[in-house]
Amino acid sequence: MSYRGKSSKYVVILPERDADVGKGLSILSAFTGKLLRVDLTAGLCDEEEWPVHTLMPGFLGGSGLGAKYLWDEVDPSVDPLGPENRLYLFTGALTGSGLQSCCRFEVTAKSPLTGILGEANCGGFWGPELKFAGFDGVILMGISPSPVYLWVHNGKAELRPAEHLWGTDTIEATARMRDEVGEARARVVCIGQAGENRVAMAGIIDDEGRTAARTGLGAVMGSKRVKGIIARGKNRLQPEAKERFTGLLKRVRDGYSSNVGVESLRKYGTAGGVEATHALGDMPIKNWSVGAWTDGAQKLSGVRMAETIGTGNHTCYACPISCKRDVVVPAGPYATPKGHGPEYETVAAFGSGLLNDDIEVVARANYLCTLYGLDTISCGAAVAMAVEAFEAGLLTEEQTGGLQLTWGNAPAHLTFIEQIGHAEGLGELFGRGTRAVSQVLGPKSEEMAIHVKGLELPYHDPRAHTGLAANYATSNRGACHLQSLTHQIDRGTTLPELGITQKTDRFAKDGHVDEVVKTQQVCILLDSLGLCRFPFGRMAITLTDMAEGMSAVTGDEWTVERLMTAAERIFQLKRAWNVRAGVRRANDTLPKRVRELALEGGTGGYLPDVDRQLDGYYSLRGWNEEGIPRPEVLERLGLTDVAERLHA
Amino acid sequence: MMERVSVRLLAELAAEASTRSLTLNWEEGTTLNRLVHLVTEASPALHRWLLDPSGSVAPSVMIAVNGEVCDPTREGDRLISPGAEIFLFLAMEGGSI
Repeated sequence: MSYRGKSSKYVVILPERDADVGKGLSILSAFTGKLLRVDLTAGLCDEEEWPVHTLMPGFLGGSGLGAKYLWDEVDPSVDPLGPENRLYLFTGALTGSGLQSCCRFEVTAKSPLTGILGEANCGGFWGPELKFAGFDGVILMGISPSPVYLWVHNGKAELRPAEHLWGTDTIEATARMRDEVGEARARVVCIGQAGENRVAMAGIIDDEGRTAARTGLGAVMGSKRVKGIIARGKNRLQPEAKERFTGLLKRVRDGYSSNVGVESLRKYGTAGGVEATHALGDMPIKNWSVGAWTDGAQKLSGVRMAETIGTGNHTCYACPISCKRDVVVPAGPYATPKGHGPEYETVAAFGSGLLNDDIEVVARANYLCTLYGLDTISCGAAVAMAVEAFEAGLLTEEQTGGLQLTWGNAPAHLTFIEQIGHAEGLGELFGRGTRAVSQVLGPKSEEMAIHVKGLELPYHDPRAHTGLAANYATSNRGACHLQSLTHQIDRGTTLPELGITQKTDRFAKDGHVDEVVKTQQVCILLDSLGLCRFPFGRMAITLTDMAEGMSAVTGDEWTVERLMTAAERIFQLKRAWNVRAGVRRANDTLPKRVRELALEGGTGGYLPDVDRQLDGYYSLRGWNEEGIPRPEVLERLGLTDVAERLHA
Repeated sequence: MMERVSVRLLAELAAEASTRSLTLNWEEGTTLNRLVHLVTEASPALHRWLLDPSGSVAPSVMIAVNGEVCDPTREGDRLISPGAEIFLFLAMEGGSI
């Protein structure tokens, strides 16, 4: 059944749902079976049933479902900031089920930063809350004539005016939305000024600190004039096989409690590994141009953070890890209110990447990115490129408005972050991403732009972990360390279900591309089921557990092999969409600096041979020499329509 | 006079051991594997972080010797010299994702 309505105030009230929402879905009780489709141009909300029984087995949820809808509904040629682009916010198949660390949702759209498939994944509480409010996902389409926010609660949805919130930062907007709906415990995703200004590296902030960060999807939300989505619900999901599910919960709980990796994350967060990552040569320094910075790494470590500005930790829905940091800098030039602390990526972005060795600077930069709604990885890369260009004379003081953008000049870096967030001055240019900047500044700046397909590299170096080379080159959203686990396998993670039983040589010339392919699909699974990488990467939860979770929750029988087939299908579908967007082998590469500049330190001067790796990778994937999935591969995965479209 | 070797503990190992460095007696023929066991003897709190249930060095343990990163699961028999600058850390934890 579909409901439809409209008012002059863009407010739509859906009819009250039955008290037992979810009844009738007992076969697939991990899902509400409903999507909320919002036509912003018309000011309409539609509740639509999605074909759970036919789509879920093939595409699971979250990332997979987003890819499927993007393929079906969005032509790759659309303007990413125009009305024809759509923004999908889909929960994972196990999100909200109660299985440990299953809390995540995926955002999908065409990216304004890269021009290809854009996606970002986020934890916290919003994903489960959306399901409890009655919906597995939200689809935003069109462009609202004026700013709005979406209030989703107990099967109802309203578009509310948000002119008064436009221009506010994410923390203020979150608080005011909660006040206005009268639900202090409602969960919020929203954009800050960066998204409003359609900054191409804007993210979507979740509950004042977590971020669906990558590929600029905050700008897509801003282009649609949606300030945020606030959710609150009282439904709870019931597993189909309760005893089986309870047994799994106990087993996983025991796995968490005895795992030193989990314990480490709880105590020191992701930045706990800064010194180790630096020692391995994996933490980029000075815009990827220096191999060692021992004193700086020591000052920026998660242990140091805990000892100095740390005030505690917090967690996501149903997650016993509590890896998230709370920090405060009470006074001084980098004063930062108590709130979410920086993750490893942010420490590298604004610390080692810019030669800032003061953890208070990093905390302040992290806070600014949260306020404005910026991806810290891309923003840090943009600031680093600006500094390098300024020092090389490619930018003048006149162009920077007097800012001395030099290495280690933290006050100037922080000012520049503000300019990017507000799309002001030179910040407007750098907010378009490093690829776009290099096209303006010219050939001399190209090597300073550290990106793949327009997405800035995260702060793990393929010169330290060779498998990252093929992964960064082929990851469907551009360079992404979260779309494979090979650097984890180099460090001791094993996946016995996939035949990965010992750690790999991090300098192997062939790039161990078999592990790249397998773990890219594992990451698709994690993002489609809504499971966090942290317990999985530390082997506290396994692929077998994931299959057991799906079986217990859905009542259908799932195996690791079945899950992996679904993941391969999703990966190939994303690639197919990107092929239609113009991606070919020439785009599957690494930045020149990472390919050619050998460094001292933990990398030992190693350089990955990405072309050699791609030959092996393409063969395993079943792609032709141009990087296009062969028809027989797509047909084997049930993607006959995709094969026909791609090879017509 | 007994020669000694100083081991610097990084990040969580330092926190778990409540010290940033350990000074150990060096013996002729001390290998990377032996060094890890000496560390666990000196600081029992690190036992479960550095050794797997079978008593072998855990796969995520890494050692930097004079700036060169070594993997004790591959190079466990490598000899170390007294006076070497040694860093001990866990590669799999913390910020590895």
